[in-house]
Amino acid sequence: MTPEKEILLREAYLLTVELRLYWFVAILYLSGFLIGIFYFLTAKKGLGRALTSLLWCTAIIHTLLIVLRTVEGWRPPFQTLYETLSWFAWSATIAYLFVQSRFRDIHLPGLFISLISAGACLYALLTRNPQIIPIPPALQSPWYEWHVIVAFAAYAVFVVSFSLEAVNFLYGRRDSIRAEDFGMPDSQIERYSYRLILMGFPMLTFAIFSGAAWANDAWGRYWSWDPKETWSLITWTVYAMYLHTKAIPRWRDNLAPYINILGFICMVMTFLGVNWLSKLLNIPSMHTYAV
Amino acid sequence: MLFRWFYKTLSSLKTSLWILGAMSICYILGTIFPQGVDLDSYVKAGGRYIWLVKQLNLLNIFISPLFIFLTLLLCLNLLVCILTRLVKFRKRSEIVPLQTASDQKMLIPIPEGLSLEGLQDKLNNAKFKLIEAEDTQYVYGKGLPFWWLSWIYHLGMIMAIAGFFITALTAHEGELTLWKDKEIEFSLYDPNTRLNRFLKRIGLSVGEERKDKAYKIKLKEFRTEYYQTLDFEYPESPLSRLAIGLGFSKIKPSEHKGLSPKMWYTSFVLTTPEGKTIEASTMVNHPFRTDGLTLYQMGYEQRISLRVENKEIEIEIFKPFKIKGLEGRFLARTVKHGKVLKKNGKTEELEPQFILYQIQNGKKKKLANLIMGKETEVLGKRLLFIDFEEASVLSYRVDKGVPLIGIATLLVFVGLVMRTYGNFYRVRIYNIKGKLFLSVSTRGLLADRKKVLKKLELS
Repeated sequence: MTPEKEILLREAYLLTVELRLYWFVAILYLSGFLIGIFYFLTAKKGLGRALTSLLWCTAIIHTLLIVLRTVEGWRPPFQTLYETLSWFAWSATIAYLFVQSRFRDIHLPGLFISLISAGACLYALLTRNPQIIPIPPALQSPWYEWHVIVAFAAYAVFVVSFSLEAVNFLYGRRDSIRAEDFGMPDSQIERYSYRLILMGFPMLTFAIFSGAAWANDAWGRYWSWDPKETWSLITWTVYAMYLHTKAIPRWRDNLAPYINILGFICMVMTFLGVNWLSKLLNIPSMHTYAV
Repeated sequence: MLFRWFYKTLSSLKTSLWILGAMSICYILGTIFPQGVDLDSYVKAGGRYIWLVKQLNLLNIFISPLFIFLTLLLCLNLLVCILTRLVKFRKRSEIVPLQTASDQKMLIPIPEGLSLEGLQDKLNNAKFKLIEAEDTQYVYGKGLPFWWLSWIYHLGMIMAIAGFFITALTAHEGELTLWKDKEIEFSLYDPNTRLNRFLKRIGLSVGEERKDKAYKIKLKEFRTEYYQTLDFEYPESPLSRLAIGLGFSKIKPSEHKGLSPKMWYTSFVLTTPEGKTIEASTMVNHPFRTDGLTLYQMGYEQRISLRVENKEIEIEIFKPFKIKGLEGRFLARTVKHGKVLKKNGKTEELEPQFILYQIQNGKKKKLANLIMGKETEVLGKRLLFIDFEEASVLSYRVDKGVPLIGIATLLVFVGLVMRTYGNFYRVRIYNIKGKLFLSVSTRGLLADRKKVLKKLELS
């Protein structure tokens, strides 16, 4: 057997192991979502605790998956869309579990976290190619790791804030559902949701600035109004609007939650939607290497 | 009266929100409609809403009057806001009178045994400083004043917008296609920047003296490097993918071996307008910089000499061409050559080669991988890849807005980070009818009210 064939067989084996682990993680997230639904319908605390415990287990296995991918490619595991979807799901779950550990008895936001993470994993598994490709010249920059890590940290924090806001909306939809049944008064949700956006906003700002500095180094243009750049600016603007709305007493409670949800939609557009939009409308994008 | 209304409206947060909302809509439109395309091409490509596109300049929305108006309005709004707040901050008193019963409810009573001096000592020990005092109130503080930080990053925003305008008015760029042994000249003066066009219109000119100061550049070497990639047979259908995930099947190695670009390097000889000769190189993400000139590695061009039967033709990569006697059009992809870093860690010199495609009925079909010097039969014709020429494409850009934007982003980022993550405390001691009370207010995500109360032994 030639050394190349040997390497190829080894890589195929590792990739098969990785894919099985990835599917397992996706199924765990889906199970978390189902437990979350039952918890929402019954308000049984045991189910809430089960949901959080399951998310902890999933996060540990997902961490192993991320480590495996890093070892396989011997580079940061967030180059292709297949990889960034996994990184996104993982970072959102880790961010949620970190926040959740601070308010212990609150488990319902885990319903949305598991849904979003399962969606991201399944999208990667069903539509993207898992093959590991080397880093192209465009990504060989000292900005690369920082830009991506901080951007995804911001996304993760925004996802958690969205899940808290979504829980708040659930409470408001049906009279029979009371926030207290799930261990959290409304005002607490609002406060945490706001503090999370406050935390993520400078991160998103850094991601945009570092992207601009990188573009200036690579192309000599810090800003090209590329769809990805523009949507990141839209997300930033919407979250800036959210933070300012919080300072207006009459809009604080009525408008801010909707802007938070809108911010989340814009974030998803920046991450994924812009690829579809560019393809659909045949608008060229300089960020195609990320697809 | 009107001025006061105008000032009040412009200093309002609600106005900021409306402007930001309107700008967001413009941004969205800029990602829906193709930018920088002329109206005729847009119409030919089947573009819709022509009237609206024309009226609102939607194909160049980021330089449209509407967008410029909104940006200037935002700038004015920010300016009025920071000026108003500057006046407020300078006059700001730290003394906060207790106005309502609920204000009083927020107060923490000080235990009888703790005197004012004792409490002040504790605050001093916790590194709090006395900021202001009056008969019945003492204000102690710690941490960076958040209102100034907030003021600083809003100022940074105004500077950034000013930088964007400088870029839009003065920035210009050019592309240099460097073929081997051909020296080209270029100057950093561009008469067609928006500012120069405007100045020309009013009979003035700026930077004309640089027109004759030309740089000369000559390609020394353009080098490409590749990684070897090994492919797998990975199914497209979701069910087959699930089957792999559930352990019913495996990923199979493919016989196909690919090449993925590792880096493009250009080395060149540059002669400055002063006659200084510099030998330098550049690659992607690593621009070359010298006194006011920056060169970026953008890409490359290739010309291929191909013999079809006995006739020699010249083709360019990625440009469709015809072969006499064959149906459809043909397309050559990049000529890959140079060093390949193989999977086994060894480096190998690659024989120059390219993939030939046939385009028929809008579909692209791979025909053959042509290796230089080796004759290959394609669709019944003998094809020989004789030779190729390669040019490095560099670009240069002059943008006077960048330094200002650099400072602005630093101000915005540092201000924002310190304001958001920092910790800021105000401790107020109230003497109400001989009894001492205390209030603690905090700002910043790292501020911990409980920690302060613990330090003062009041929790």
